[in-house]
Amino acid sequence: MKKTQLKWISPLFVVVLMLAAVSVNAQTDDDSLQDLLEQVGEDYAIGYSSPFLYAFGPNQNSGMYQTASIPWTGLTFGFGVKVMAAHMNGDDQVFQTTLEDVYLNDFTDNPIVGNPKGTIIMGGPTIFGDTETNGSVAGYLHGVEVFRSETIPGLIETNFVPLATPEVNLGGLLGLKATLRYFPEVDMGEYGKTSYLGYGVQWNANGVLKNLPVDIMVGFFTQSLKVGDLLDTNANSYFAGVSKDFSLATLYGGFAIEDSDMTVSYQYDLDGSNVEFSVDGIQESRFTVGASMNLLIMKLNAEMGIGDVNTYSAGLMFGL
Amino acid sequence: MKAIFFRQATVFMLPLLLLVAGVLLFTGCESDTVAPHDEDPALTQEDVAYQTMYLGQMFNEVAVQAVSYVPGGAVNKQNYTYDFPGESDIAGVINLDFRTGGENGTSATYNEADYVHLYTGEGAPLVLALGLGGSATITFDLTADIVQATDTATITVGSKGSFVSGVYSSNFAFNDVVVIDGNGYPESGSIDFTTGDTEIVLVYDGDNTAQLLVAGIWTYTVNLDSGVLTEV
Repeated sequence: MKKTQLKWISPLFVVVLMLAAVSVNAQTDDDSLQDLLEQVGEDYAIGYSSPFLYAFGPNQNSGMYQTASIPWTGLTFGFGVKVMAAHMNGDDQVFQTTLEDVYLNDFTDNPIVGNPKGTIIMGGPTIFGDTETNGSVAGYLHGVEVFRSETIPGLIETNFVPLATPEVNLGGLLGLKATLRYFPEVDMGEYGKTSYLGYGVQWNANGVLKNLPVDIMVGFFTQSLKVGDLLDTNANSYFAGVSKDFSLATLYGGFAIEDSDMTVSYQYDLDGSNVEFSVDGIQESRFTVGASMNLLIMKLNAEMGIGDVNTYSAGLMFGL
Repeated sequence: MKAIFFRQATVFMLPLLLLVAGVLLFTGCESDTVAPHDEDPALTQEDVAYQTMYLGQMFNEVAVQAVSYVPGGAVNKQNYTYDFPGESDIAGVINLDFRTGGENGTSATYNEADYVHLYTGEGAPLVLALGLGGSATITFDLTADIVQATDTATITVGSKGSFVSGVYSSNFAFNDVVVIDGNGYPESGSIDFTTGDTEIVLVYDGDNTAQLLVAGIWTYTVNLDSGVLTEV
């Protein structure tokens, strides 16, 4: 790679890293996700952040390929940026979680004599809900509300959860292509150090299954993203794809089996306790369909991922 | 044969995927919902019994204004108001429309009337402070026949109200409840209290106890002073 290319790729990575972190550290006037979560307990945090928790993995597993065509001889390489967004259900802008037969004093800073057991109803805007309205936690005993406290507003009002990542690939030997997504570790001040690594391999089967009218490929990709002490995510995808080249354009599609998980850790302001919980992604498979345009060394693609969580992805790659 | 089938399958795969994507784009492609949307937990029979008891405890303080009312501050002869004192567990205002000659009679002063319409204003329910920091908002729309000689008011059948605490709301209706000035609790009569599918009848007997009738059987005895429910 030429030295001049390296000069602008480095700042590009920083920009992309910031894009990737935007969904974690996006700020309202003076709040970040971490600032908001620190004001609520674990049960509230799970409900509040659930759209983010369940969108992140499918986002990470998007944009895995733009063609099934990988040469069996002749080196290819590419580098560029992938951007993706999960289209969340409109109902996910609010949530309600109920807990029955729980000690009420665990949910209020005004203890009730005898610490009776009762019902908790908590809810309000999720992370992607109304940023002007606070949620609430209410305690019920004997059918009446015995306390109610305001909680936190949404962080960003949107139905789309964005993510962006840099990507490089190298292939052309026996139909194999290796792909790498990587951020060097970056200190993001109060959010701590952020790092990202993803890698995978794709194999084109046309060298074995000859004379097919389309290209066929199978592959896998695994990745992890860590945002300070707050988030630690992992995602894996095992996929099979087909594509058909039409001069300037390539149509492609495929099926993937995937999984993801996210661990959230923070300190609860109310009692100083450490809160940590993990959530497994709900999406286990997806169909992908997309198209890419090939303009000399530039490849521009757009695709849709269809699963429990639907995603849109686009990429701008340079290379041969 | 297998090779031909495989070839055909791969040829049709891409158009099929494009078709699926096209259909989704035109029919809407929101994801499945992932945030929890739990229903409000159903109240237990005991919960509704407590709600009924809270109403039963406070009701006399409201209804007795029909016969013990003493005007304070500005008074409109057409429509008196009563603002509960600060030491009461009840906050808010009730309206009192006293008449002689019944519902369609003429307006009268509180100490001459034989009929009263007692009600809370639109959007201005009473707020009942409960133990442990809880509260409920309560509306009333009741009428009563008054006997000035005995300071007695009999709540007319059809009188009703509502009880709301947080996400739970209930309705209640009165059955010939008799209130006497000076008595701590209604002399007789009952309140039908309904929350969802649960209906409980509170029966007054003139002292500080009442019975709660659930599904046609005596289920609880209530101490209206202490707020203790005793299952029968």
